[in-house]
Amino acid sequence: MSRCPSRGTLDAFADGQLGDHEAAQVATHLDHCPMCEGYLRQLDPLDDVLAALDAPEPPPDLLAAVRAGRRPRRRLALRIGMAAIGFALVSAGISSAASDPAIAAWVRLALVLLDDVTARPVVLRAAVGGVLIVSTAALALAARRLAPVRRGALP
Amino acid sequence: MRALEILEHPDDEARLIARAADGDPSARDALASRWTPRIYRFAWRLLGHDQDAQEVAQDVMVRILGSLDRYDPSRKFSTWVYAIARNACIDEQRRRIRRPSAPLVGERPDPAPSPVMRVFEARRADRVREALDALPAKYREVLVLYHFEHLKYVEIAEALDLPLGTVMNRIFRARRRMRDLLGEEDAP
Repeated sequence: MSRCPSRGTLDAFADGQLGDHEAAQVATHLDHCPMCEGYLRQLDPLDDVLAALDAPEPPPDLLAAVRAGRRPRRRLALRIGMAAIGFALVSAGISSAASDPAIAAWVRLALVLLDDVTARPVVLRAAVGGVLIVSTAALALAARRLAPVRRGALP
Repeated sequence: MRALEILEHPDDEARLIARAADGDPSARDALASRWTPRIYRFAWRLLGHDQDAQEVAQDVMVRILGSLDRYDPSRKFSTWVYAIARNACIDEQRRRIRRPSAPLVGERPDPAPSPVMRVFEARRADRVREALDALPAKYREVLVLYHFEHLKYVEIAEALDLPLGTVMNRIFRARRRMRDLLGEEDAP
């Protein structure tokens, strides 16, 4: 659409009454026609209503932190924490896989659970991570004690 | 501020981005000054929580400044930035249990001169906030991008990686829902 659409077409577009094809043509035209774009925006009274929701100014230290290239502390701590838990579980899995497939299976399940809780609050993530590490360590310890029994070498 | 003034022209913005990508500190500062408040307000409107909005803005802007070499100049810089910011907001929403947006009432700057007007404006803003929060996320994000960030339909489609028709439908439906939610009194 090289020529500007009529007022009637623009009004119909604003009301969502155009067919898909014609509406797409108008929308594409609006991308490079400030006059039609301005007309539609001025026509839209929702702008006035939404203007009541005035966002606050960001705190000055936010810009300072960005300029210094600092990531948010909470996110950084969470990433490090989750990485540490994941690393511990993977290490436990590798070290126990050779001796006990059951523990290796448990570690795999634990990693899936850990991945699932990454979208949960921090307290829950910490609790789940702690439980997983402790239970994995306990299982590994138990497996090590039972290994001679399984092999038939009674103490 | 000259560094910000020269951004008014798209070619100048492209040059500024190229300089920032090359590590020019003044260009990086100019980009940070221009985009940090925008991303913060965008996140504030999508998330309804000040602290989360600050963290998202800080995280997104630091990531953007660190990956300017990956920016494709054939795309508009604004759509690239809003796409990253929008994804960060989605991650943030998934990460947390929904928190009440009530603290925003106290944090909003006073828009009116008299106490009576302030109460009236605050109540009106609360209703708009509640209506916006009540919208499904897919409607809220297109409404915020169109009405607050002043992106065009085509730009929103690019930022959200959606077909143009889908964006138009969502905007129309979002408007209708807002009208319903705000009731006849505030209805446009």
